[in-house]
Amino acid sequence: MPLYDALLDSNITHYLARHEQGAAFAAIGHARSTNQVGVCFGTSGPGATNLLTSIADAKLDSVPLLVITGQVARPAMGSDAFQEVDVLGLSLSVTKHSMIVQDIAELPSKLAKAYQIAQEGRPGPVLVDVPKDILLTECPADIHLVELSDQETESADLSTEVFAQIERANQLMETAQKPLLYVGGGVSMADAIEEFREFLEESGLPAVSTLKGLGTIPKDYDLNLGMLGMHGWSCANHAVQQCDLLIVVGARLDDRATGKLDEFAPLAKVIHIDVDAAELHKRRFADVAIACDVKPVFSQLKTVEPNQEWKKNINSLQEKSEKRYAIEGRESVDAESLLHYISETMPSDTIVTADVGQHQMWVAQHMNFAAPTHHLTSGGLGTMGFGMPAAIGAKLANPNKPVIAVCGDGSFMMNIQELATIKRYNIPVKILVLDNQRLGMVKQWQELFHEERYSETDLSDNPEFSSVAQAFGVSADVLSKPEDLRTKIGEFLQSPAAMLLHVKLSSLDNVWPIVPPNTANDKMMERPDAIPS
Amino acid sequence: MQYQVSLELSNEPAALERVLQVIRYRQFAISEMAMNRNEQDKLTVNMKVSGQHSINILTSQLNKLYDLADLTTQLDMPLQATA
Ligand SMILES: Cc1ncc(C[n+]2csc(CCOP(=O)(O)OP(=O)(O)O)c2C)c(N)n1
Repeated sequence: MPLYDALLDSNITHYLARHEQGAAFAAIGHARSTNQVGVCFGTSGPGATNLLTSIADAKLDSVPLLVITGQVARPAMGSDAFQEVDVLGLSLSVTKHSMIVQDIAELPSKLAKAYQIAQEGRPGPVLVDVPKDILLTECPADIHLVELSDQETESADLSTEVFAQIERANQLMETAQKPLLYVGGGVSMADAIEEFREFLEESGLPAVSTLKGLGTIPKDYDLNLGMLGMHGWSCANHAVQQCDLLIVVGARLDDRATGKLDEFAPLAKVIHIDVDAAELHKRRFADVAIACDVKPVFSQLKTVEPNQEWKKNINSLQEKSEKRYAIEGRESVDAESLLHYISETMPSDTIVTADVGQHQMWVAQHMNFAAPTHHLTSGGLGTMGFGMPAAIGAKLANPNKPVIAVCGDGSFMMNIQELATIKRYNIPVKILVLDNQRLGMVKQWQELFHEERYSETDLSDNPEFSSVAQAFGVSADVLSKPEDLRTKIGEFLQSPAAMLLHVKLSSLDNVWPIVPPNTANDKMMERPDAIPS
Repeated sequence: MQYQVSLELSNEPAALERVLQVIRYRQFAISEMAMNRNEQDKLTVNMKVSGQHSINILTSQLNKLYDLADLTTQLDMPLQATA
């Protein structure tokens, strides 16, 4: 209450979300689309617990987030007071750091420290819990105010130890026959896209990307192999399995990317460069492990003339996983072709957010992004309901860029209340609900790995999402026939105001390829109709 | 493998809980522990931990804690039983 009272007289622009999870996802959307700290508030008790999922999302995806929660007054703390929960205790495992303010005098320095911690090194969420009586205390006249500032992008000098490691990395690069770059989200977060791309062009190395790294390798780079992992392209997965040197930058070798770890990149020596030393040797031993900001490293790496045979091999892998799209000639709209069509026709600076499930993987597989700041997806936690609120935050932070949220019908329902936020502030985001009337990704696993025993994945009683949007005051349309696709997508992309397009898909479609759980990445299952008989 | 872990922490709310949470989450178990608050208002903690993974998995995570001032680990050698 005191905080919101003070807001009336402050110059802070505040947006009221309709659920704290939505507020924090919007802050994450802001943070991820700008590489700056996102900020959100929540009230004590249920407000704070509602924030936890989004905070965990920010932790697993290394998002700089400052979360400020209200707490009951100090004299009431520890008494199970009304709306008291132990927020500090709850925060321990989902934040990068958290603190409670115990005196008004320490409020400015704690906020400044939290803001700094959120963005330094490997970014992450920081929570500051503020008891109500502190918020009601008159600010002492002599209080030392600290300015909150975004981190300078200038990088620190590399240490002699790091130089020695880079020297060793360069020796490995010189002798490698089949080197391959493995790019994660860390390159963009370190503001090192330019340095990375320069190195890529000069070295001519083939490169694969993680889900969070998508957009780092230029789309038209001739040795871009795309995403690796469970739903990666077969060329990316095969190249990793065949390479003899894997250069991992700004990535943590997550299990969805590596597949069965014991059989991951079996022939490769590994150079691993990441700002978080705790990620080095965590899942895979690195022959050369370099813990530092990745930005200044690229100019120090040697570029070696690529081996022609390896290049040829890469090209033939690329040819084999060539994608084919067909908008017409199907009974229902094909999500892959739809998303590819949107990707080809949308302005190149468009920001796309996704929910979690099959549609999320189709977005990653069939769309192209200018940079990882243009593809916001819940990678580590895989949180359904991420897409629409993240799009709200991204649009508020980037008013001149088009923002599209690609939502699953199941996921969309998890934060559907934020349609009210879109309406209230007239935030012109575009919402594409890909409705397969199923919890599709779970249905896919039940079909493939549980003998088609479908348990609780049928959503065929979904509401008419277009009517729901209209009830909130957001304009909407329905796309169900492939022959209407081009026209309706044209109208959708050109809509100046917020708009929802409800796309009716077949409930049968699956994501291909898929690496079955606990299986090596090169033993992926391909689309059944693509396998020659 | 058992290790002796010695830590020095700032006396901030939840500093000790955070250490214990990291140890549990990273799959280590504590078999002995002693804590002291010294004159400089620092918490010194000595403990024995064991786990299946390399101790570096744990120390690299503990090193990231903002309340941590110092950390040393040492393999805990059981005394050789004499015949
Ligand atoms: C909050 C949350 N609950 C449960 C899950 C497990 N889960 C992963 S994908 C999925 C189905 C998603 O369905 P939908 O949003 O309709 O997308 P689709 O897979 O059909 O494209 C579920 C339930 C999750 N990731 N997040």
